[in-house]
Amino acid sequence: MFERMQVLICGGDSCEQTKIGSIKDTLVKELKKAGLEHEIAITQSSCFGLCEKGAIVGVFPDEIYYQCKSKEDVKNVVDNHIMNNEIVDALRIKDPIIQKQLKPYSNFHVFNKQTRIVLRNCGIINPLSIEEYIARDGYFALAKALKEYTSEEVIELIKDSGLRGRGGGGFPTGLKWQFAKESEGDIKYVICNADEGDPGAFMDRAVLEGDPHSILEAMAINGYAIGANQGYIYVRAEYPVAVERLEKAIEDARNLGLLGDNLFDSGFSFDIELRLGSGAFVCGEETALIASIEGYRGMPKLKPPFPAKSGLWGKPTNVNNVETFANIPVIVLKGADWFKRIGAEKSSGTKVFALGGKIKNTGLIEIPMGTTLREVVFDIGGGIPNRKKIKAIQTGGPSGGCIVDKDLDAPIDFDTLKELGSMMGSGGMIVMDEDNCMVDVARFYLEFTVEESCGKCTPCREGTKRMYDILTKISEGKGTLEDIDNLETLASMVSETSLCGLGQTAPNPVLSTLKHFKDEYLAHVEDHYCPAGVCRELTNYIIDDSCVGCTKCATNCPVGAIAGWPKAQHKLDMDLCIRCGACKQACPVGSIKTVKGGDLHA
Amino acid sequence: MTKLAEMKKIKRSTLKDLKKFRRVQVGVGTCGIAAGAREVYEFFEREKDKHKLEDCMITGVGCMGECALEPMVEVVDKDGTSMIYCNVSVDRAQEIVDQHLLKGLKLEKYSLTRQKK
Repeated sequence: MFERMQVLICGGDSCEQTKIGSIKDTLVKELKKAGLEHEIAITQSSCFGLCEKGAIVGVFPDEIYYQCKSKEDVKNVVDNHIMNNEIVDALRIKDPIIQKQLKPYSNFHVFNKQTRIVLRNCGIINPLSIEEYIARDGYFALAKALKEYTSEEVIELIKDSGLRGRGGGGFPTGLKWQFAKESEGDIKYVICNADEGDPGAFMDRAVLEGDPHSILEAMAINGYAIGANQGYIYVRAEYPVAVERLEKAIEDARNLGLLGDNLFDSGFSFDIELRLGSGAFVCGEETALIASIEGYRGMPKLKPPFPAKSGLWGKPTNVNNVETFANIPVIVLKGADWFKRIGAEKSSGTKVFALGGKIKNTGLIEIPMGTTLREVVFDIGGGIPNRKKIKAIQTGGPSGGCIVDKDLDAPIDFDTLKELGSMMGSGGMIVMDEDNCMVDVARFYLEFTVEESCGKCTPCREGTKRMYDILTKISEGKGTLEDIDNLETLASMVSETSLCGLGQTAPNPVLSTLKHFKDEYLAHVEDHYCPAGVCRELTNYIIDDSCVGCTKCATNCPVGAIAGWPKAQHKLDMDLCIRCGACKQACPVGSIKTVKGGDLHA
Repeated sequence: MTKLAEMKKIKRSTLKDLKKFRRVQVGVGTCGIAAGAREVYEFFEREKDKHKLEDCMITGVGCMGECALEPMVEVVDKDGTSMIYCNVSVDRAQEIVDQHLLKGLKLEKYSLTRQKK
């Protein structure tokens, strides 16, 4: 749907008969008068079943229902809510019982439980067409900021909205802007951090590819607020589609005079250039990113001084993530109060997650903060495939941790996730089931940080490597109890003494798996057994008596380690077995089990 | 003309123009392209010329968020109703052209709501 709003009205007879006449006609007339007839879709639903309440009008995506008793009431809703995004409190249905009754009608929205702010245009507009972006209120926020607000007021607005950095840290965006504004200097810079590096995360890519203009607009607003005239987008060269569309977007915006000199006759000038990164994970850290733009090797610097004081080429610089920027135009247009209404108390707005792993509907989702993990996994994600049980959810990528199934009802916001020992991170969310070995998971993330450590400081360079060695040792069944202790000590040491965020958070996957799944570590060390059957050296298979003798396992075994007649229980020779797991996957009845070494001959 | 008035004009005319067309939106984010969306997009363009479907606007859009079901194609009819098709190969695209675009018959079997269940 291209329309920015949908109005849902009752299609039943009773409402039509209320004395105000046809609501639809009134709505159409009022919308036409306001010049909004092309922007708003009117949808007639089946009868709400609340005939005695008069005409009920629902406004989406805000999901607010009104009770209109006269033509003036309808006009009131159009003039205030639809035109100016101001909810008409007097007409709003507040009775919780009626609200509950109306709930099913909210489901007509395709993306149920999701709220699309950052992804508002993704999948709807043609990203190569600046006209379509403008048709969806694009660049009107920039116009509003330049014409109606002083730079201080813009910062005040962003502060008031409670927007926090979506790159992972969760630092209040308005405050960051204020620091950059207060720093003295005639030249300042705005940088958009589009160096998305977490394994399995692609939220920023989707925004850059689907809605590039929203970033340009937000950066210009940021420039106006802090007094910068030049912006840089630091984007990975591995995102060629995003780069191509950004280049086209910048060119189109310049041609229309929406970037360049004297924007909207305000005297304010702003331009944007791209800088391509070569995909080093550490360049997502702002000081390393700045070094990379300057042409140096991407290595972090000691903070303070923060970039707001001394950033790009020593000038005050504001660095924000793609998703943070994507929120800005909407906040400017709709106001801080509107934004605060969405989400949780200390984490307003929405968050985009890349949902992956053992889940039915993998993909990109945007949810209001405060949604529980259970809703994300089961309602939006569709649950775990193959009737497996959920074991943990990993958020925050290599810097984050695991959240276990008992905490599934926790709301998703910056502070709660931190309390649970994980973090919001940039938005990767990987669901794991009982077939995931947590030692292996920790080892996977450590392997990533070992490769991506820039090598500047010793704790990160050496510490992550040693942790990785210990984890490898444990997964091969050669670990000792002392190794686990060493791992713990090392993890806290690396996290306390590393220079930048990469090293400080690298041990998180280890610490959180150790905290929640110590029994798995102990099984590896003491019993030489991998309960999930992932670590090859520690996996022994057995075919139990539920075997139906279908011969599928024997046919699939690449080394001929399985013998047996059709319709009789098969036998597996562990001396020949190479532990590839092909038989377990092939078995239709789940007769092939992983067992501890000692149970083999049981 | 001031910049703002100019933008309002663009907005108005774009929204008005859009109503004249049926929109065939092909998801061409990296995810879609990897699953073959570019071929599907080009196929729709060729079919449009072949059948002289002047009231169809073939357009690329960003990621729709359902990675496992890419390539995705959304057909928005002039009355605003839309149908999202999943896993659109060139063969399925042919069916969409034949049934939906030429005859106005929606293909429920490939729809998002059906596939997600």
